[in-house]
Amino acid sequence: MLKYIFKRVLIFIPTLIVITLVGFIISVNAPGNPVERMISTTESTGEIGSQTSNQKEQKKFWTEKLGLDLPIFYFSLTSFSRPDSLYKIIDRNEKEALDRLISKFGNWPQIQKYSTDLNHYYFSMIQFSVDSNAVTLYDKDDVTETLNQLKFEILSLRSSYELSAIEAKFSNINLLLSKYPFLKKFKNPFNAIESDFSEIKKKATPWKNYVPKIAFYGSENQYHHWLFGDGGKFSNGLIRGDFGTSYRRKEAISNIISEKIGWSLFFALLSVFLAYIVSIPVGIKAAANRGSGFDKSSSVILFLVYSIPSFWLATLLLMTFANTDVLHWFPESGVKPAIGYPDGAGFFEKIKISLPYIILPAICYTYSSFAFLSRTMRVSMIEIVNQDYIRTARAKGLSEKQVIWKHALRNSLLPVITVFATVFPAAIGGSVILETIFTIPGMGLETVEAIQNNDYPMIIAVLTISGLLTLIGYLVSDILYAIVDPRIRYS
Amino acid sequence: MELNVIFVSYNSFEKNLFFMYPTFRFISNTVLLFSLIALIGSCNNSNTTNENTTYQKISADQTKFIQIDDAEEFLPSWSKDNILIVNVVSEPGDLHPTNSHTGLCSEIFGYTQVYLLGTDFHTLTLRPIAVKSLPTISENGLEYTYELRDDITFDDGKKLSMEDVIFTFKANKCPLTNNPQAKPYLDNLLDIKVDEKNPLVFKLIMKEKYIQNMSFLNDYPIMERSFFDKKNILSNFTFSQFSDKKFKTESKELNDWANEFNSAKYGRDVNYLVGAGPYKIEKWDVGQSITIIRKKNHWSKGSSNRYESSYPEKIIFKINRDPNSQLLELKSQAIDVSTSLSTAVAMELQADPNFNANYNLRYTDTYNYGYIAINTKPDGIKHKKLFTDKKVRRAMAMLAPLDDINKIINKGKNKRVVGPVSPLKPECNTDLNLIPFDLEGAKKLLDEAGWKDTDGDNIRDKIVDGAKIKMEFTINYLNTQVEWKDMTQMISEQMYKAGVKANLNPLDASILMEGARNHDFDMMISGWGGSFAPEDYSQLWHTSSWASGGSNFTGFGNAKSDALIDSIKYTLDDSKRIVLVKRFQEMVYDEQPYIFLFAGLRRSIIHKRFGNQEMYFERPGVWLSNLKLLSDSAASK
Repeated sequence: MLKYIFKRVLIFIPTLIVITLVGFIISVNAPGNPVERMISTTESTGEIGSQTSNQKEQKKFWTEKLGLDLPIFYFSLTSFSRPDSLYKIIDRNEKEALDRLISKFGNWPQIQKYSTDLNHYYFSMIQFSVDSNAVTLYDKDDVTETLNQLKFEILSLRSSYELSAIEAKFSNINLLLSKYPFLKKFKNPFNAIESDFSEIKKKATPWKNYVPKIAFYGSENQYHHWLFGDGGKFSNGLIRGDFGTSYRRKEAISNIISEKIGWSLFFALLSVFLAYIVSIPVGIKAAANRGSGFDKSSSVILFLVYSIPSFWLATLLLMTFANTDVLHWFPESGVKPAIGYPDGAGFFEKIKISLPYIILPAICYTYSSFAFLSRTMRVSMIEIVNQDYIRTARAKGLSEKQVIWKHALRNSLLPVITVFATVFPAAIGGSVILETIFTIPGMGLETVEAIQNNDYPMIIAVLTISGLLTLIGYLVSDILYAIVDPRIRYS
Repeated sequence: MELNVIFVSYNSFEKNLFFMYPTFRFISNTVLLFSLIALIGSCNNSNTTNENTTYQKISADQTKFIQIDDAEEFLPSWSKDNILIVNVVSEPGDLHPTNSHTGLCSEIFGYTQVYLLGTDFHTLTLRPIAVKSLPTISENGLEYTYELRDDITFDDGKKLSMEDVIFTFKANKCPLTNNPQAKPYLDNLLDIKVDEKNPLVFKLIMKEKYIQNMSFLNDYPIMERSFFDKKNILSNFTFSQFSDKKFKTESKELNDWANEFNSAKYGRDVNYLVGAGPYKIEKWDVGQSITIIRKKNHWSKGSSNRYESSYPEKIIFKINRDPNSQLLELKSQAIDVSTSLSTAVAMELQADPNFNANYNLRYTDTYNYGYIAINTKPDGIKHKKLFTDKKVRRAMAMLAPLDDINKIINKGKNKRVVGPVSPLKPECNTDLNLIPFDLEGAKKLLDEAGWKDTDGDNIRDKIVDGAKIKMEFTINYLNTQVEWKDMTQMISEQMYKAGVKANLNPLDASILMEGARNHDFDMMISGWGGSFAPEDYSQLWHTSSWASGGSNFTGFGNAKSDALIDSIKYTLDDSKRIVLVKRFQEMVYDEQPYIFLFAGLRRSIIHKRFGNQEMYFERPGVWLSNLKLLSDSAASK
C-alpha cells in the first residue's frame, strides 16, 4: 500500500506541471491585460502627447516589472517563419497583427522592417503639430481634422492585417498627406513604408509557415519565474512554497488563500458530512423497501429539492428565517457579528456565537447533494443485496437489519466514497453565489475577482491548488476503497 | 477632476465605482462600473432631493447638500451603542497610503489620514486640512504658497512637518513605488520649496498653469516620514530626479526602501496602517468588515470643524453585496448607514412604516453620468459610415425613449443629463434642452440625411462612397449589466420603428473598453465618473485623444473645440472659465457625439439614532464621523 501511495504521489508531479502549464497559457492569452488594469486610472491631465507617453512608459515599466515581457515557457513550438522574440511586443493588437501577417506571408525580416518603420513614423507623426502661422493660411478645422485622421489611420495601421484594410488605409493616408504642403515631409517616409509592404508581398515565403521549429528561451521565462522565483521581486517561486504576489491586491497569494480557504473548507466538509448522514440512511431505507411509499416519496421529494437553484433557496431561506417581518431566527449576513467576537472568547464560544450564522448557508451548501448521494446509495445497495453472499446471509437466518448493516453496507459504500474525492477541490473553488448572498469570506468570490482582473498569479495558484487537491481527493478515495473493501489490494 | 469609466463595481473605484469616497481621483475601474451602473438614471438642472417621508423636513441649503433634523424622540428599540455600522458592497485589496486606489480606501482614509486639502461638502469647494488656508497663487499661475498647520500630530506625538509633506510627494513620485494609477497626476508637480524664514511655509512649483493644480492634493494622504522611511533614504533624491524619465533606479538603498515600503504589511497589517486622522484601523476581518476606532487624545479633540469631529466611537464598514440581505439588515436595524442600495430595494423599504420610523432615506444626484457613444469617424471598412452626419446622430438621440427607460428601469428616480457637465455644477449650461423622444422627427431627419428604405426591407439604406449600405449596426454594452441590456433593447425596438436596425452586443469590460479606444464600435454604452472639481475636458473631448487611442472614443471635435478645451484648462478665473465651459457644452450638444443618458443617483440611508445628519452630492455622500449618537448616555464625545 505504501509503495502504491508513493507511486501515486510521484505521478502528481508531472500531472501538476501539465495542469499549471495549461492554466498558465490559457490565462496569459485571455483577453485583457493586468498592466492595463493597474494603470487604468492614469488617464490624466496635460498634453495628450505627454499623457500617452507617460502611460506607455508606465505600461512598459510594469510589464517588465511583472515579468510579462518574458516568454511563457522554456520553449515554444513554432514555425520557421516566426521570430523567437514576438512575445516582446507589449501591445496585444499589434502583436496579433504581426502574427497574422507572418501567417500570410511568412517573411519576418520584411515584416519586421515594415513594423519598425511604421512605429517610427507613428511616433514622429504623433509629436507633430503645425506651426500656428502656417495654419492661418488654411481652414483650422480642416487642418485639425486632417492631422487627427492621419494620426489615427497610422495608429490603426499598426493593428491591421487584412490586405484590403491595409491598402485602403494606404490610400487614405496618401490622400491626407497630399492635402497640405506642410505634410510633404511625411510623404517620402510613408512611401518607404508602402514599399516595405510591397516587399512583404513580393518576397512572401508562406511555405516557411509549414516548417516546424522549436524556439528555446532558457530559464528567463514566466513559467520558470513562477516555479523558481524572479529573484524576490514578485515571487520566490512555487518550489519555495511561494505562489507569488497578487497583481490586484499586491499581497502574497499564500496569505490571501490562507485567509479565505478556511471558511470554504469548513462549508465543504460540513456539507459533505451532513449530506452523508442524511443521504446514506435514506438511500439504504429506500433500497431495503424498494418500491414502497417511502422509496417513491423520498425520490420525488429529493429530486424536487435537487431542482431548486441554490441562489433561489438561499434567498428564500433568508427572506423567511432572517426577516423581522416573518421569522427572525438567524442573522442576515456574515459568519460572525459585525463587532466581532468578544475579547478573549475561546474556540467553543466562537463556534457558539457563529452557529446561527452558519445554519442557513450550510443548508444551501448541502441540499443539492441529498438526491444524488441517496440515489447512488440506493442503487448500490440494491445491487449488493442481490448478490449471492447476501442471499447466504439471509439463509443463515440473520435478520434483515443485520444483513443490511453488517454485510451489505460496507460493500455498497464504494460509489459513495468516490464523491468524497470532490470535497477538497470544492473547498478551493468555493461557491461565488452563496458567498455573495451570505457574505462568506471564501475562495469563490476571490477567484472570480482574480479572473475579472487578470490576476494571473492568483488564477494559476487557485488552479494549481485545485489540481493538487483533486489528486489528493482521488488518492484518499482509492485508499478508502481498500479500507472498505478488503478485496481491493494495491500491492 | 478625473473622469472614470463607469464600469466598475464598488470594490474599488476602478474608474467606475465611484461613489463613496472623498478622494476620488483614483477610482479604480472595477468598482466604478458597478456602482455607476446602479447609479445611472434622467435631466433637468435642479438638484435632487426626493424625500421619502413627510414628517422629516429638509432644512438646509438644498442646492449644495441636504440637512435633516435630529429625531425628536429616541425610540426604545434603537441601540445605544456609539458604534456606526456602514454597509459597503466591496472590500479594498489593501489600505496602503500610496498604492491603494479603490473607492472604499479613499473613504476610510478620510477618517484615518490627513490631506493638505479636502472637500467642503457644504460649499462644494476645496477646504484646507493640513494647511492653514487655501494657497496664494503667483501671477504666472505656477507657484502655490501654503502654510502648514502646526497643531497636527501623528500617533507617536510627532508633529506633522514639511519633512512629511515632502516625503509624501517624493514617495508618490518615486518610480519604484507601486502606484502607477497615481503617478501621472504628479507630472505637473516640479518641486516643493520650503521658505527659509518660516519652515511651515512652502511653495508647490508646478510645470504649467492648470485648473487642477490644487484639487490634486485631495488625493495624497500625508505620511509620517520617520515611520515610512526610517533611514530618510528619499531625502537623498530630488523631485527633478524622480521626474526625469531617464532616472536610473539601480540605487540599492532606494530599492531596499521601495521593497519595504511596497510590502503588504503597509497595506494590510493594522499595526502599520497609520495616519494622522482622528480614527485608526482597529480590525480587519477579511471578507467581513473593517473597523476603525476613535483615537484617544487626538489633536482634533475640541475642534468645532465638522470635518474634524469624531463622534462615533467606532465605525464598522460591514461588507454585504447581496441586495436582499441588505434589505433585511435594514429592516432589523443591523446597519446604520448605506449609500449603495439599489433603487428597487430603497423603494421597497420606503413602503415599510417601520423602516421610515427608524431611518432617513434621500436620493441625491451624483456627478457621474451614463451615455451612449456614437462612432462619428468610423473607418468605413469594419464600421460603416452611418453616423458621420450629425442629423443622423440627432435622429438616433430622438429615437431613445429615455423617459420611458427612466420610468421602467430606473423607477423614475434618475434625472436625464443634457451634456457632459453635471447639472450640479455652476458651469452646466441650463439653456440647452433635453432631446425628447420623437419618432416622426427622427424619421424626417433621416430622410433629410438621405437614409431611405429603397428596397422595402424596413431598413433604411444609402449610397455611401459608391456602395449601398444599410442602417444596421451594433450597440456594445457590458455583459454583466442587466439594466443596460434592458435599456438597449428598449432603444433598439424604437429604432426599428424608424427603419434602423440596432443589434445588441454584450461584451466583457476589457474588450468593451479596448474597442472604444480603438474606435472599433458603432455605438456603445458606458459612463463617466466625476466630482465637483474643475474639469479638464482634454481626456474625453480633445481631438488628439481620439487620434492617440485615448478616451475620445467618438471622434468629436475640431480646431475650435480643441482651442476651447485648451483655454478651459488654463483659465483659473472661475467666472471666465464658466463662460467657456458653457460654450463648450453647446458644441457638444450641437454635434451629438453621445446620447446622454442619466445622472448617477445615490440612495443615502442613515439611522435616526444618529443626529447631525447631512447628505451630500459629492462622494462619499455621508460624512460618517460627524454623525452623533442621540442617546444621552452615549452621545458625548
